[in-house]
Amino acid sequence: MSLPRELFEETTLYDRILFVALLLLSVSSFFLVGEIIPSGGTVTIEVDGRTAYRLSLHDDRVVEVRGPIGVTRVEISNSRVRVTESPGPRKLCIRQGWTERGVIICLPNRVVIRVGGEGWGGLDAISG
Amino acid sequence: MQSQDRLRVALLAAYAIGLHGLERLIPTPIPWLRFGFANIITLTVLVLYGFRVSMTITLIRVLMGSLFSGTFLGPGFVLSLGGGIASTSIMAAVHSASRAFSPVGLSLLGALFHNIAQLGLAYLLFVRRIEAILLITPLILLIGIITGGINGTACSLLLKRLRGSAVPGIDGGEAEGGRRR
Repeated sequence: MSLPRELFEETTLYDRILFVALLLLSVSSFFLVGEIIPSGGTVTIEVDGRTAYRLSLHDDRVVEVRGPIGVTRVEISNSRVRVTESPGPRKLCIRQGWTERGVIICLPNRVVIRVGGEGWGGLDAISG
Repeated sequence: MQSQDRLRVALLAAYAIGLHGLERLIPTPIPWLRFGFANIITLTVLVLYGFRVSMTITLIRVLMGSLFSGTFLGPGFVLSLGGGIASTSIMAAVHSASRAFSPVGLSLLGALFHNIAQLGLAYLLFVRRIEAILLITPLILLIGIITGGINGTACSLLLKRLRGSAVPGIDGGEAEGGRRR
């Protein structure tokens, strides 16, 4: 008896149903997740050239990132981004105000915030 | 439990730890991907000796494996422990409730619950961002089906070869795969 045939005969009907169901579930979840997560409109926060956060532009939240000289507070609201607090002496990034697209840079604290642009790409969205 | 039984549990746990360590040497494209070969032992023991022995071996494997790799009490340890307990429990529960599933089906369910437990724990304890969890869920489910299927098949073949040979029993577990010595 060939090995594949032997393997198949070791499984029960319920095994096969379970296998197909799980396969369908996982394949369809690839598409479902794409639907749930809004594409485009991301906010990327980099500290010293390294990506600290990649957030959706459409989820309102406040994020605090620690740079070399202190904490920069970034607020996302109504698909816009602004910096509400940063340790730089001239507060340029705070004065820039609400930004829908483009870049906010708090140079003294080495924080770069990119607004809009690229969508959710693969596993890059995990910060840890 | 007699001293002979303790020796057998230790030996089986050593198999599980060995497989657990060996699979890390296999290069994979994704760094966090684990094959879960230790589940072959867990599942074989579950069928041969029942829930208590297989859970004992899972706990020993997670504990000793983390001590050997230096991840004891770290994030990896918590995920490993949660996944191990969840998968062993679901496989035992389904196996004791009915014989509808062969080891292949049990292994698929074990892999599924292992992944669900890990994703849940990762969300609750470490990541706290549901979109990050959702993003990797389909890939993890798919990998789980593949590895779960392979491990279950290995377990099936192992049990088939063991059938007919004398499998020593362990007190507190029912030896059903072979004759008790």
